[in-house]
Formats: sequence, C-alpha cells, structure tokens
Amino acid sequence: MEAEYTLAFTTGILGGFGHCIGMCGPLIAAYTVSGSSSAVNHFSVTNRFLPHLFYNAGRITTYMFIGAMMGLAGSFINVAGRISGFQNTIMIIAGLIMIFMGLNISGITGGMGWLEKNNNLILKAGKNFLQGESLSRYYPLGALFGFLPCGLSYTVFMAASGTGNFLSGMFTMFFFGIGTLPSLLLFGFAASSISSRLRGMLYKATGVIVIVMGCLFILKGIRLYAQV
Amino acid sequence: MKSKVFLLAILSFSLFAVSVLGMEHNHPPSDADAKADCAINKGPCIKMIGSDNIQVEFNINPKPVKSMNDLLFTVLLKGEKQPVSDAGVSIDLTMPGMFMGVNKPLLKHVKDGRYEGRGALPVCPHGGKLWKAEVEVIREGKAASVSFLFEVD
Repeated sequence: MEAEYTLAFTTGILGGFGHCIGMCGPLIAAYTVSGSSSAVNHFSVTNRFLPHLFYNAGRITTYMFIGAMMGLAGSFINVAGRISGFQNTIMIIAGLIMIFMGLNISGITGGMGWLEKNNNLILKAGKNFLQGESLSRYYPLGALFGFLPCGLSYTVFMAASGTGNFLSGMFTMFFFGIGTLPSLLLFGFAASSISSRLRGMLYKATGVIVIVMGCLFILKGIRLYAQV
Repeated sequence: MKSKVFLLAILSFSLFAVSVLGMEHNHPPSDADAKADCAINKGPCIKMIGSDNIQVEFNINPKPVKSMNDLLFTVLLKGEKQPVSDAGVSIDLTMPGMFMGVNKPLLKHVKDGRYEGRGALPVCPHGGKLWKAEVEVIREGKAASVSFLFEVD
C-alpha cells in the first residue's frame, strides 16, 4: 500500500471518532430518527445497520469522485475553488432537509400529508425520499452530503491533489472514507438503537432538536458563503 | 394543541440560543485556550530556538492570509553570525482543538537560510480561524521546534 493511502486511512480512523462524529453526527441522527418514523422495521439489527452502510457508501463515492478530480487537476485550490460555492449550497440544503425531517418527526406540520396534497412531482419525490421504505434511498443522501464542506476531508483532498493522478487521487479518498467508516457506522447503529426506543414527547422533542440542528447548518452555510 | 405550542416554544427558545451562542462561539473548543501569538497579517513573526540559539522568522504570503488559498510558507533561519543553510526544515499545520489531518507543506532551502514551500489551509465550517504552525529544524541529527499561533481571515 502506498504511503499516502496509509496516511489517508489513518487520518480517517483518527478523525472519525472526533471530527466526523461532531460534524456528521447531527445529520446521521436526523435521518436515523426520521427513518425510524417510517414503516421500515428499525428493530432488527440489519435494518439498524443497513441505512448507515448505504449512507456511507454514498458519502465515500462522492469523496472518490472529488479525489479523482483533485488528482486529475493536480491542484487542490483550483478544484476546491470551483466546487466551494456548490458545497456551501449543499450545507444549506442539508439544513433544509434536516428541518423537513425535524418537522416530520415532531409532528408540527402534521406529518408529510401536506406534501401529498400538492400535486407537484418534486414535492412527492421529496416525500418518498424522506419517508420511503427502501433502504437504498440513503445512498443518494450520503452522496449528496459527501459534498459538505469539511476541514478534515479538505486536508486529505490536498494529499489527493498532490498525487497528480486520477486513480491515485480517487484511491486516496477511498482509503480516507474507509477509515471514517468504523466511527460513523458505530454512531449510526447507536442512533438507530436509541431512536427505535424513543416514544411520545421525547421522540417529538428530538424532532425539535433536529430542526435546530438544521437551522445551525443553514447558518454555517451562509457564513461560509460570506467567507468566499 | 398544547403539545404543539410546547414544541414551538422549545423551538423558539432553541433558535434564540443557537443564534446567540452559535454566532458568538462559532469556533471549536481550543486546547488550553490557545490564543494567537503571531500577527501574521502584519508581517513575519520571530522566535528563538533555545538550545542552538537560532532565530526563526516565520511568514506566510500573500496577505491577508486566507484559508483555501494558495499560500507561500517561508522560514528564515539565522544563527548568531550567519544564516543557517544546512538544516532540514518542516512545518506542521494544525488547528488547536480540532483534528484536521496531516498538513505539512514541503519546505526547500532557497538561499541564505531562507526555506520556502507552498501549501494551503482548509476552511473550518465551524468558523475556527486559529492555526498553529510548528516549525521543526533538524540540524546535525538534532531536532528542535518552535510554534507560531496565528489567525487567518
């Protein structure tokens, strides 16, 4: 294994339990609690584990894509500069999704029925995305959130750009993503186990926390826009 | 109905708390309450490496120093009488209180004790702006280091 792959993997392992849980924890908690309100049986071990596997597969796919672009361009600044606006937008979108999830969980909007009343394809797709039963719907969610601006992944993107090669850049990010897996899967599994036991007001209060987290993400996204 | 009012009250209070606390304390907790000791945007910072009595001048350009920009890191080493040109110099860039991975721009000797290397500082979505540059100087098999804490725009 090349040195940069080992370094990327180690960075993922070390960063996973501190940095990644702090950054992605609210997102994981949001989709986990939101998912547990759907018809999917979250009491089985498989169903507590699979959503997070799909989510992380999507996230790592995005990392590999950006890593490949960084390696191909051989420049972190050029590629990061081009996608930074898009990443900040994703942060705001993530915040909005979390607010929708939180509203759904807390029952403030009376569930997602209001989405169905609107004969709009986008809104219906949104409802299926948020309340669907297919576990594979977490893959595009992970792929989307993989674009979220993250200082730790930026540092590894620098290493990917330093390889000056499409494949090496891609594999650098693959090993980084694999390194972050244990912590995020463990956190996700724990979140699933807890959320499936939440009942009544406690469950609704969790929805409120998700809404607040969503607002925080939007604020961060706006602040990042201001820095560009 | 009561539960909805209660939830909206919690939501309102939480939004207030987030907007006040989140905007005021928008950077990650730092280790040992680290504060900048180097005003990098005003010019180079100078410290001494004790045992060898080497003066270390640390600088970053262009100014103002911004994250997500192509940056030139410069270390100028001066001995008691002449520049130190025979050292191995490296910089380890870390963010106090937040693990940001390994970021070590490669520095090469250019001329008369001047070592240069290009790199970048990633943006912290949490709003952290404080960075630590640990300059390590290896000379005749002995390593010594000195740290500079600085803020970026």
